[in-house]
Amino acid sequence: MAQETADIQDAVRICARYRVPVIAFGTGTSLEGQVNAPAGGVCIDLRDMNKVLEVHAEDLDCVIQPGITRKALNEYLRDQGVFFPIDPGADASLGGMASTRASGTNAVRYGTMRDNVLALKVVRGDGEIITTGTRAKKSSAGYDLTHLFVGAEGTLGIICELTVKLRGIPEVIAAAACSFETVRGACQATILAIQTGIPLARIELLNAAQVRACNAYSKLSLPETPLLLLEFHGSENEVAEQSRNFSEIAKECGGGEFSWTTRPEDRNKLWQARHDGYWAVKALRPGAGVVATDVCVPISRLADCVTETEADLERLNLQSPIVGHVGDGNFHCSLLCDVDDADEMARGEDFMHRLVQRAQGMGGTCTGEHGIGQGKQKYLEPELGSQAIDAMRAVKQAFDPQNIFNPGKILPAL
Amino acid sequence: MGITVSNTKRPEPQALASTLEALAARFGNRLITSQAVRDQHAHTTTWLPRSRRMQW
Repeated sequence: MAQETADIQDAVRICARYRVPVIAFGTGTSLEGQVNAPAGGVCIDLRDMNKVLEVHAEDLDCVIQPGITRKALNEYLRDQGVFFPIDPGADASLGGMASTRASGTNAVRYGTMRDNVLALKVVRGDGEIITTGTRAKKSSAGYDLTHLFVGAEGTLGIICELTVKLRGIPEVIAAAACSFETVRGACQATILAIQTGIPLARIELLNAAQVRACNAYSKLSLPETPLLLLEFHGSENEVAEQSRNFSEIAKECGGGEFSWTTRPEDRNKLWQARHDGYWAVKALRPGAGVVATDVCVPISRLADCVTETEADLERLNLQSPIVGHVGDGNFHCSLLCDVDDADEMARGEDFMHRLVQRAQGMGGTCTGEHGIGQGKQKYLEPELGSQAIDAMRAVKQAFDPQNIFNPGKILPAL
Repeated sequence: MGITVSNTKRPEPQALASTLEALAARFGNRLITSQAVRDQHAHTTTWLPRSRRMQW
C-alpha cells in the first residue's frame, strides 16, 4: 500500500536488488490480465495515492496521483466547472487508465488517454524518477517519453504522478436514441455525421442482441434492432442544431424514430443502461462467464466487420452481444461461455482469433482500448511486424534490463 | 537483436524471502502477505486465469 512516491521508489529499489517482479495495481479493472502475476512478485497497491495535487482551471489541466479514480476526480473538479472526459465504463484509476491507454464512450470527441495525458512522473528500475513533460499544451523537446509510458501497461516503470487535460463542463447535454434496420445503416449514419462535422460527444452502437439484453435488464422497451445512442454537448442552440442535423442524416440511412432529451433523469436512464451492458449480458445466461474482447477498424469497415462477426457467432453457435464506440470504429464482444465446457471455450477461442484476424485484415488493430496484457500477445507481430517487436524489446531492455516491471505482459516470451 | 526476455521466470525462494524481509523493515504493517489480500489483488475483471503464464 503505497502512500507517497518515496514508498514506490523504495519498494522498487528493494525488488530490483533481488530481481523480484513488481506489479502496480490500481483498481483491477483491466481486461486482458494486465495485473496478473504469472511470475509471482510484489504488488504495489496505489489506491491510497489518490490526491489531486494541483488544479489549473484556467489552463484546463490538473496534476494528480495515480490512484485517484475517474469518478473521484470528477467529483473533486465539478465545482470548478471542469471535468476529465475519459470514461472507460469502470471507475478505474487514472494511473491504470494511462497504463492501458484507455478510452471509452467519449473518445469520439475528447480522444483517448493518449490525447489527454500531458506529462508523467515515473519511477524507473533504480528507483529514480523520470519526468516526461510539462504543463505546456505542446512541446518539441526531445523524445516523447510521455506517450511511451502511456499504454506501457506498467512494463517500463511505475507512474507516480500525472498531468492531464481537463475540459469545460458543457452548458447543455442532450442524449438521443435512434433505431436502425441494419448495422450498416447505423454505421453509415455515423460516418456521415462525422464527415459533416457534427461534434458528437458520444455515439454508441448496440446490436440487436445487446438491445434485447438491455431491455430485459434495464426494463426498457427499445425496438430490438441495431441502435445508436448519442450525446451532444454545447449551448442550448448548438445542442438543438446538432440533434436536428443528426436526425436528418439518420432518416436518410434508414433510421427510425429519433428521440432526444436534455432531462438529466432521461439521459441517465439511457446511459445507465449502456453502462450496465456487461451485467445485462451476464444476466442472459446466469452462471456463464463473460469473455470480453475488443478490436478496432477504420470506421469505413466497421459495418463489414460487425456484420461478419455476427455471422461468425451464428456459425459457431455462440452468444455474444456487441457494443461499439462506433465513432472510432471500435467494438466489443461479450462472449458468454461456460468456462468449464472445453468445447465451448475452444469455439470461443476460435471466434476471438478469427475476430482479430478479421479486424487486422481490414486495416485495424487487435485491440482498440483493452490492451495487450497476456491475452493478445500473439497478435502483435502479425499487426506490426517483427521489426516493431524488436524495437519494443529494445525499449523494454533499455528501461527495465532486469525485467522486473510487470513481466509476462505485452511482449511474447522468446 | 540479441535481446532475450524470459519474462515469466519466478524469483528464487531466497530472493523472495530477502525481499519480504527488506519490505517489512521499510513498510511495517503496510506490507501485507495474507492469502486473502493476495487473492483479492489477483481477482480482477479479466477472464484470463490468474495463474496464466502464456497466451493461447
